[in-house]
Amino acid sequence: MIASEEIVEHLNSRGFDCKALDFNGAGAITVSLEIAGKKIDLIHFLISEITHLPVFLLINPRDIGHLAHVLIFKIADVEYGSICVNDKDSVSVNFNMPLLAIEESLNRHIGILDRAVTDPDWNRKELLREFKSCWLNVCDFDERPVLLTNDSGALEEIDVYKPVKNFKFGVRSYYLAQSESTDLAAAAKVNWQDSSGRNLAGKAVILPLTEIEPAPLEKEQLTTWYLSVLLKQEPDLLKKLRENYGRWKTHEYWIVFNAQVPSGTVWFCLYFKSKKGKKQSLPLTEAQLRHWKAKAVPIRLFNKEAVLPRGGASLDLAASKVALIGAGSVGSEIAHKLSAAGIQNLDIYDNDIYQIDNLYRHILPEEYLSLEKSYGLSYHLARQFLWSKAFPSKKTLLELRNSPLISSYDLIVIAIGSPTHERLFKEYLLETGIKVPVINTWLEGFGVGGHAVLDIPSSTGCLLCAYVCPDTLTRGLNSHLNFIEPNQDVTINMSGCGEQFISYSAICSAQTALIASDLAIKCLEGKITGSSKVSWKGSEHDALAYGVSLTNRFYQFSDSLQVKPLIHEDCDVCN
Amino acid sequence: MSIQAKFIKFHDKIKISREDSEYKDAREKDDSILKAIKSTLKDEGYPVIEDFLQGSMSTATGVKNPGKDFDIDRAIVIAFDGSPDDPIKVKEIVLKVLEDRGFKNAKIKKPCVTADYASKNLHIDIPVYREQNGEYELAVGKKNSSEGNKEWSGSDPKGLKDWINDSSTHLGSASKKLGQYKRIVRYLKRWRDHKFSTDVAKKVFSIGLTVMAKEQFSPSLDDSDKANDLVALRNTVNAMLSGGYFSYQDNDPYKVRVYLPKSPWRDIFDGSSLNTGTQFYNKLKSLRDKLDKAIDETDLVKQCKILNQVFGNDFEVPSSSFNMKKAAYATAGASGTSQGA
Repeated sequence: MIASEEIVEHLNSRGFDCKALDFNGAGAITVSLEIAGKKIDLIHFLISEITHLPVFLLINPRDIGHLAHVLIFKIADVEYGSICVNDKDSVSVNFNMPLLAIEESLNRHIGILDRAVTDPDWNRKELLREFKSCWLNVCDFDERPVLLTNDSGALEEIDVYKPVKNFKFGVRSYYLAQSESTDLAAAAKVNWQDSSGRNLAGKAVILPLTEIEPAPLEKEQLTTWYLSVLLKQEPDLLKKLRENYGRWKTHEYWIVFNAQVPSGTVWFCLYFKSKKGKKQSLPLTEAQLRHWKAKAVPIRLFNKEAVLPRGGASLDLAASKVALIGAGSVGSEIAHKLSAAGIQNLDIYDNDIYQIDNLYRHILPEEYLSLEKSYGLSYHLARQFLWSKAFPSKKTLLELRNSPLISSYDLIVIAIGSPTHERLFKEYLLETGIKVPVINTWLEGFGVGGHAVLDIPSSTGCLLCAYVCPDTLTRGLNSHLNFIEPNQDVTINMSGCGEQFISYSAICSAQTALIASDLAIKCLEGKITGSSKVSWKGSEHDALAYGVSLTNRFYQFSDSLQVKPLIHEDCDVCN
Repeated sequence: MSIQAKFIKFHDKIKISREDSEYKDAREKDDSILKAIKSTLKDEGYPVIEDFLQGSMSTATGVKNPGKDFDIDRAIVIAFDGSPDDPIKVKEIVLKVLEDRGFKNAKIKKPCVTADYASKNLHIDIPVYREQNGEYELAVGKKNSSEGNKEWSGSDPKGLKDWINDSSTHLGSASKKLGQYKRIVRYLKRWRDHKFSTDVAKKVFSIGLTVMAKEQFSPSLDDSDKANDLVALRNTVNAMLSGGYFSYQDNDPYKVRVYLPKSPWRDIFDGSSLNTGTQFYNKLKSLRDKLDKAIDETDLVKQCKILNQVFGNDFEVPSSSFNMKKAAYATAGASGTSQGA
């Protein structure tokens, strides 16, 4: 640990007013400065090892006013202001030169304070932008969170149900408040137990604020803050609130606010509990508030606009309609990734039954054993991706020919690893003139790699471009993208006919699914408009150990994961 | 359509293999004469213990040539034990069989017995070997050679064949690269037959071209594993030119030397004239330059015109670069695949 005297000497040499301090036996330093005529004192407690940006706390934070990025907290009944200079993982700290790290950190702390003190507009804007984290600072976390399903944020009164007994994890362990218009009602009914399996806890009112103030600094200011915010709302809103929802009496109320702040829509909640165990009406005035005990509580919002972008999904893909043929190891990963990207209308075709043998390279858990993979996958997706409308079917790729549904898809993804059926289907599309983009994806055994081709009928390049026979330049039987030479025995046979399988790991299927899913999403988003191909190349180690010969392409290939044009100059369809 | 498609079409036109229908008569004659030779040698006390094809039919590098006979290189092997000390003795028996069965111009040449069957455009070469413990010796000598000019000479005909057919040095798509090499040998043979006078062409030995091309082969496959024979041929020819086969003599002429890679390790062009070597070098250089021009040319028709000059009319020149390609399908009924999902 670096001595406080050494730090003081260093900082003073850099023009700071710094002193060493013995703080109840612990080493500390203080730094005094003045910003816009305000005297500011910072304290830094010495640490044995620099594992993050050194922290400087604001002494007597209330004297300086309500500053953005400063949260008040207590140590041994003494208030300090914690200054948020960075997400702690967003900087790489020079722990080898602790004096420099301390100096850099001090400059960053002062920089934040300086702007907050000298630029009141910025300060207010930042306080509103970080409203949610400020609100969480005054929240009580002793209750289980309330889960709210709400899309519109409009004024509404809804029932709040208690957590399901004996559930400590998952949505069943949350309070549940469902808006009437929620599109999650079905999911809630099946998966979370709604009113049928829970007891009523009280009422919630969704209150869309037309005006908002920065969050209070401390819990004791909550009711004052609440009343002042109510007064600032448009009269119409207050009138509706009073007349429509103000008369119902209950023991508990949740007021769930939503408001526009610079960072988007913020949702937060005040919980009111009747003081004397008597039912009371919604507290809207100071007099009514006397009957209630108020506290801020965390709320978890389940709506598309909040959940999808936070998880990197796109709301724009909600309307896309995709068919996935093949729910095996590659197909299941694709289904997962497409759903995670925000695709809701996913029809999954596969009549194969989920078996114990599939467990280690498939995404489904064992409870789906003996069920068709397409059905298991659809149910499974709906659990994680709440807006997924994945629909299962036992139809095969060839049975899909002549289906009127084919033309209705924005994209068809084929992950069956059967070149015969895939070429037959392609010829059907050519004969019928159906112009739906299709992705064919497959992997090869022994971890040598995998491939995905995107066939966009309005552009040059098609699946058959990937099948031009390199020797005869005719329509070939194997894709020339393959890394394993054709006509070799690449299956492993452990128990006789019908039990052969290609050796590859879950990593291979996941990697293959990733390149196919990436192509699919970029195609649907219009980021790729031409027929394309992508491959990933693995290692030849296992193939060579098994005596399998690889193609020249494998040894020359250095374009893993790169999207390349699919067109082949000898394809009879495209030339 | 790509230039490679044109090369494939050209190759299909010039290649000849033992299974081709055009070769049917030669094959039948080969079968019948072999039967007769075996029977006679057996009666004479030198039973044939093995026979095999040599030459281009054994390495799939044969080319058609309208002005030339079909060649058969049929090696016969007798046992070392019981073989005569005089190698000519067995060759004389073979010669008599050929003469008795209507072959013309039958004669004993130094390395083999040779004859023509005029009505079937057939030329047959029969080298005679004796074998012991996998080691072969060739009956060398003409009919009236002196004692010093006839011998059982160590030879490795199978080793040479295996060397030509070997693909183990290629990393990835080995069989495709071997196939490309063999096509290149055929292109070189057709180039020779088209560009040299008949007299010189027959001195630019096929085995010489085959060995040079093998030693200098530079495969070219694109990222779809499609062969680029034009580039592979150009690079192979360029490597042949600088491969140390041609040595500069006085005032321009060149001497060509190419050694067999297997026993008896002799110079294939031993005794070859400076004229042959010089023409060979100059025309090979001209071929390289023409191939460079074809590579630089972007128009398919113009490319084909250049190659038509190099190889003759079997290399077709399309009327347009934008021919509609008809769907053509693989000739195999099925093919094993590594694809899964």
